Amino acid sequence: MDAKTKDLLNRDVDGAVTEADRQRVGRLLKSSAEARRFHAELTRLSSLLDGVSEAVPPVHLANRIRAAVHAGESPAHPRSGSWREKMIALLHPPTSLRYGSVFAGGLVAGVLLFMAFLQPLDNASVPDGAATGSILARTESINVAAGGASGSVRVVRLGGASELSIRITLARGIMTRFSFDPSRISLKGIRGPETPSGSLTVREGVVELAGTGVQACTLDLIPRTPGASVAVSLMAPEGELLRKTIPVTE
Amino acid sequence: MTDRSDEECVRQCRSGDRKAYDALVERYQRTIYNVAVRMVRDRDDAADVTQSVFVKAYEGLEKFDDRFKFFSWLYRIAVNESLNLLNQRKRFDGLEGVDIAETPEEGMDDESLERESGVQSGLMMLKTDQRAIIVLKHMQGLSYEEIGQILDLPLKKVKSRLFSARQALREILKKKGVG
Repeated sequence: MDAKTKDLLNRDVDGAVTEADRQRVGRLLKSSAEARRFHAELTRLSSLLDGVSEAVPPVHLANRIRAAVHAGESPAHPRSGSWREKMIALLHPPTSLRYGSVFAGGLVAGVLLFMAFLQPLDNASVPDGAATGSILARTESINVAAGGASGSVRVVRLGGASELSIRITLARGIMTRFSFDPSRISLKGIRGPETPSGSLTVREGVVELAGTGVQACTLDLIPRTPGASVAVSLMAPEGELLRKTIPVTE
Repeated sequence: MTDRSDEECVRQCRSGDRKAYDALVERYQRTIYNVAVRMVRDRDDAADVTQSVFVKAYEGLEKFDDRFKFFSWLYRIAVNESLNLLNQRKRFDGLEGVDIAETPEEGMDDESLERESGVQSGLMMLKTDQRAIIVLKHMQGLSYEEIGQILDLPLKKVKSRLFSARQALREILKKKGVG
């Protein structure tokens, strides 16, 4: 079968043929077994692909996106001037403004986080800069967002040990810090960061993941006492933007 | 708010109304997430890609040429961001092409799950440009013209790439015994 015929049959399956083409297809299918087989296979593939179900996005994705989109905004930016000037101001604010807005964002995040703690964790409405999550049987997963950084932390408890993994998109100047009491938790191993742009700093009771863009790492933890927990913080140069304490023992 | 057209939302957003952009996020996050899921498979990665798409679109709204459709532009960013992530993944951890456990949609029976998992595995074995065109055509139901605009390809190239992608996928699925 030549390329033109294949093209015609492909377009027919896509419903992109003229009336004259359709008649040609009809004649072809009558006269050629090869064309019939090719057309049938294409139709089957097409309906297989068209029938793939729609994936449902995570419940808080829209909120997370809105938080990330608006995280770089500051009310200090002037509203007058051209759009170009506004965008330049928005994307390249002076350092003091940038740090100021991050700090202000941190304060707002703190208040919102406090409010989030007062509400059920599976609350469908997630304020900007908050930590949310859900508790499953032996797994806890938390979404975090503040200062233009956002991602999720997952803790899996595995018979005496815990695996804490984070995948986060870090904005410039923001890093993730894990802190824990070394007398209550042993750090048995670290996997990551996954990209060369990411870096890990490990001190006693503290692990810091830095870099920009998507970063990820996994900590293997052995809790020594019941009720041991790890604090996950998003840190800006001025201090902590967000803090969430996650139990690593049940 | 949801009654506003994309063009109106973009215009209002450009004049400083951030709520107008929120409406666009609400309208398209599911669509973009679906493109990303089919392109990168891993759902956490797809959520990251979706977020990145909207942040980039927001940052570049000034550059958006409003002779084109806003959603076509979003699709284009989504495909590019997915490809960036796949390249990163390939460079750093060799995950490209590796099967990742499928997360079933609620209410899906075993047979459907197996079929969809097979299709998704097959998609992941295609070249990324072939995968993108299959996703846009079959999972998003876009026309040749719309795909051409999104991928910046002439119509003829859209068709030839789509047809060869289907041919390749047919072979892959046949080997896997899917469909």
